[in-house]
Amino acid sequence: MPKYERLSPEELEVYEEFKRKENQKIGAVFLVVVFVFILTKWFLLTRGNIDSILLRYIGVGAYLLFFYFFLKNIYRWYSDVNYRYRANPIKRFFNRFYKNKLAVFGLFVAITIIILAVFAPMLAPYNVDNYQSSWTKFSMIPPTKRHVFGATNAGADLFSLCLYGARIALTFGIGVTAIGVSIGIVLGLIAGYYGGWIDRFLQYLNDVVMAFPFLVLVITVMGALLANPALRESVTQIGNFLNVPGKLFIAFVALSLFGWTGAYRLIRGKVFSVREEEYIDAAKSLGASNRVIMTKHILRNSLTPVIVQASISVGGYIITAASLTFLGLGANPSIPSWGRLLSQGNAYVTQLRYFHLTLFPGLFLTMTVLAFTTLGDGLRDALDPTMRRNDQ
Amino acid sequence: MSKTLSNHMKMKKDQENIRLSVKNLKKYFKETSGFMGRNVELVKAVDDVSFSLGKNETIGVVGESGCGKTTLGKTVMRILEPTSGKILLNTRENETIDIVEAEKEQMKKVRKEMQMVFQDPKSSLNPRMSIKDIVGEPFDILNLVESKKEKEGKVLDALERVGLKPEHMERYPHEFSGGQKQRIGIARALAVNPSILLLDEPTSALDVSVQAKILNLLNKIKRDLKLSFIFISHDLGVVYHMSEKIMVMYLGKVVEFGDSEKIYHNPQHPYTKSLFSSLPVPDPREKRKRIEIDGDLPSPKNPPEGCRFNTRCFEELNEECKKRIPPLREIQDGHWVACPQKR
Amino acid sequence: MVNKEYILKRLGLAVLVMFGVYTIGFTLTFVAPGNPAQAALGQKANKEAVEALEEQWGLNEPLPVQYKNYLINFINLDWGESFRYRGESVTGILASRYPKTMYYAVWSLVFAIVMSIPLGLIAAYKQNTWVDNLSVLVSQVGISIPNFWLGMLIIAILAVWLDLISVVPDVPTGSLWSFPGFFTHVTDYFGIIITLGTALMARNTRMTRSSTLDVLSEEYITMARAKGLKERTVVLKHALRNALIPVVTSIGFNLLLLFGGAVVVETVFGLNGIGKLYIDSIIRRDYPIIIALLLTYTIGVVFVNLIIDISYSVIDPRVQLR
Ligand SMILES: Nc1ncnc2c1ncn2[C@@H]1O[C@H](COP(=O)(O)OP(=O)(O)OP(=O)(O)O)[C@@H](O)[C@H]1O
Ligand SMILES: [Mg+2]
Repeated sequence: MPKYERLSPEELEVYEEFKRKENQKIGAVFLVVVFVFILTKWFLLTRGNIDSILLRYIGVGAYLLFFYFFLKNIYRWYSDVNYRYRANPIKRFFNRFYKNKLAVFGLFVAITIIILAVFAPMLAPYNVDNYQSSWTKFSMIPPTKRHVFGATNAGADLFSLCLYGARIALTFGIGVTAIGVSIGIVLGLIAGYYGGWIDRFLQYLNDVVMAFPFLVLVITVMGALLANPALRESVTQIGNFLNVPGKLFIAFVALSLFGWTGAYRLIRGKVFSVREEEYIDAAKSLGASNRVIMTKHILRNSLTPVIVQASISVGGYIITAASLTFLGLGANPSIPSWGRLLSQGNAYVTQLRYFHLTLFPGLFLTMTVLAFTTLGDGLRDALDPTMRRNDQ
Repeated sequence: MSKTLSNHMKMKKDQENIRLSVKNLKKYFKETSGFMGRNVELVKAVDDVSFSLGKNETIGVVGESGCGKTTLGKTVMRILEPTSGKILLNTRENETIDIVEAEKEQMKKVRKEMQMVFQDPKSSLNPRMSIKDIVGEPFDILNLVESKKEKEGKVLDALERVGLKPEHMERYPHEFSGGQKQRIGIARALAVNPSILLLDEPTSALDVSVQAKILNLLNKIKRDLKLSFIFISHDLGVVYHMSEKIMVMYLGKVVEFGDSEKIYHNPQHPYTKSLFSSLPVPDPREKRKRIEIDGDLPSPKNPPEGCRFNTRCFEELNEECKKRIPPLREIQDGHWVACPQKR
Repeated sequence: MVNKEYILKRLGLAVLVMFGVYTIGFTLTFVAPGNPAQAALGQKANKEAVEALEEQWGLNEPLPVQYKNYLINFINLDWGESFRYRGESVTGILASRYPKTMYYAVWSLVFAIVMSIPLGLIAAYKQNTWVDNLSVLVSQVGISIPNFWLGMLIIAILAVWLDLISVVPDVPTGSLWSFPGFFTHVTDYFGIIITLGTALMARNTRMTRSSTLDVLSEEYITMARAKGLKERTVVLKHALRNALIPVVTSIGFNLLLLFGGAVVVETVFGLNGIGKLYIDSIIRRDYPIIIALLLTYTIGVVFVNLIIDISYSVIDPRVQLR
């Protein structure tokens, strides 16, 4: 069976040709970007920092170009050509998604931040290993050509620190979401499918957890984990085993412990409604096992709202983690994080000439959160325009 | 002298001509309410139903909404666990399986013999699965095929049989009309090549013009594949048109059962009479008084004592009507009625 | 008609949830020993003194007994003394901190509701115009901006740079809740009110917008329009009432968010409300304060939710428990 059965052979040829060309374009742009990155790095290494600023702009420009082609390409693939010939949910999804400018912006920023985080050691113009070292002549300098964001009170380059801060933020946001969503899906399926006392118990647990403000609950758990030597030791050991610094891992555990309620509620509710659908009966009448019914029918029909919620909650967890470090409870001071930088900024918030310390880490933080929020919203509208908004 | 239906079944000589015989089937739902579910009420959705289905035969099941038709179907399919009773299935290999007691392996055989088409075509197809996956699902679950290619071939066959085109395979349910969806549901049921098809109001959600096409399709399938049908509907005309026998249900109980000609032209139970009085008469010379029954269907949670119809019956009630649940009696060859006043 | 069974069920559930909150709170404080007695007396204190203090605070008992005792004491409103501020009663400390936080919490809620309802209504009414897009953007940003950073921006820009508002006023809590004081002190706490209120406003705007959109598409609005009623009458009479429901029913949830916000934002503004008290108590392991704060606040929220739900069930008897 040909895949694009409604295209005539000539049309198919044109289409394949088009696809090949677009592929070549995107490949070429990709090569240019890699080349520029390598060049930048090489210049940085051989000639110090002197000419790197110009190259940095070239790098950014190349990246934007790359992203533009990337988006344009997918857009073409999934809307213009295919849409006319076959109505497919995936294609309609892309069509709707790209109409939402805010969501495209969110996708752009989210991917950018992820790239910045992954390649932070390569992209950061300065070394941040000992960024806590003593006062130097660069301390608290405002933005200059070499230090585009200025420097911290220890004289470390703020731009480099902001890049590194993305790593910890994304680790928290995505990691906690992944764990929370997995637990939530399992518990939601169990509660929704089996009902009875298991459901009542989980529902009760959910009600209790929901009676706390999330941040307050996390702070309390962290307080307990930090105060109890035995607990702290054992959690730190697991952290060491996973090669994560102790205090950081404690914060991670505290967040993950209660991050399941959102996905749990969504899945449970969805199971209850999907369970009533006749295709579940149809599967049963074919002798489908519980496992098949759960995964193939119920889960597949419940994933849309979970994906949306996951995307939005990534932002929420990034804020929570930043709040913890801001309060001095989260990541170890030795690890560069936006929350930590902002708590430094807070110490100088009444002195305007040190405003860069407040402004730039906060902008990074807000843009990242905004990206995941708008991305989630765009996904929701594109995946299922009739989906009710469950704002809570 | 009258005999009860189960008596009759034992005595029936042409036993081997029977596909499915249901004996004293009950399905009670527990409904809980109050704090921590302390009050438990029984919903007697199907209460002591017996009948048998012959080879190449269609039994039409009629009754108003909420009388337990769907529940009967789902219980026979064992989508719902029966409360008690027996469901004996004679397979094509001349094996008799009691569906109520059947273990996993035996249930697999049952699934290959008996399939169901559901009431609401919109909700009976998973919106996230392509037609290929939906119609191919039986092959996966019951391990009926060796390769993907074989599966695709069989899916194509099933689609062709119900009048769908090969290019529909890759599409999703929302791209089809109601009639087409119901065809897909029929294709899925036919995929395992069953001998019995349970049709739960297969046309009630469709436009009249589409209804006729689907009914013709079903008749053709029945002839071609030599199937037995249990045809559930509340549309008496459709049931009469489709079936050799008619079973009338009221509040979970069978009130009248027999050859469709007999029931159509000579209904005996007051409830059946009232149902059929609303039908247009094919022969204008035949006179039929329109009988309106008043009141709503009582709740199956606490059905009236005695005959369940006694709250709405238009005939004069006697003591027996109020005290005893009337059993099905054969008042004529091949015509059973559950009414104390008919003997 | 008031559905008595519903109210009883709801009440029972609230009590059960409070019990769960207490259990979690207790587990997270008393089970984690930080040796508060030693901490209170200093590292040099002798063993006898420490043990005496532990006995006085009941920390030498086995945990189940402490669990029971504390619960009984709590119900009897005997909340003991703070571990950190020796000699001060928990009740006294809470009484001095609560009015301040509640003051700006209430004003933030007012700000959020007053801003969000018109914004959401207009956005829904002018769906897909620039007004709508703007309101969506504003609410997205409002949800995404971390409150402590917003607080810092407000201090740096509004207070320091433009010198429009004052920060860190120490207003006697008594005058906050007196008649003219309640209104005149808004300017003193303007910064934190806006900071805390922005996230709520963003959420409520979204909710108002989407519920209004739902309502506007419903049959009876179309009917009313068809009958020739003036557009404005239609929107105000039908849409507003229905749009208000989600906003009102989420007041309890908003109060929860406010507590979470206060924990961080009070640090930024240097205010001594319950948020600051809570974070200090966590760091210093001041159990009685931690648990009393948790319980009082969550009881308050559960209670607010209860009242909202019950009054809602009285207005609309179809509402049932789950
Ligand atoms: N899962 C269930 N739990 C409790 N009661 C049920 C359940 N399913 C069905 N019932 C009750 O059993 C009775 C029979 O329902 P059923 O769906 O079988 O009726 P029906 O004849 O198919 O009606 P319709 O023509 O509307 O499809 C109804 O009173 C219904 O409320
Ligand atoms: Mg039915």
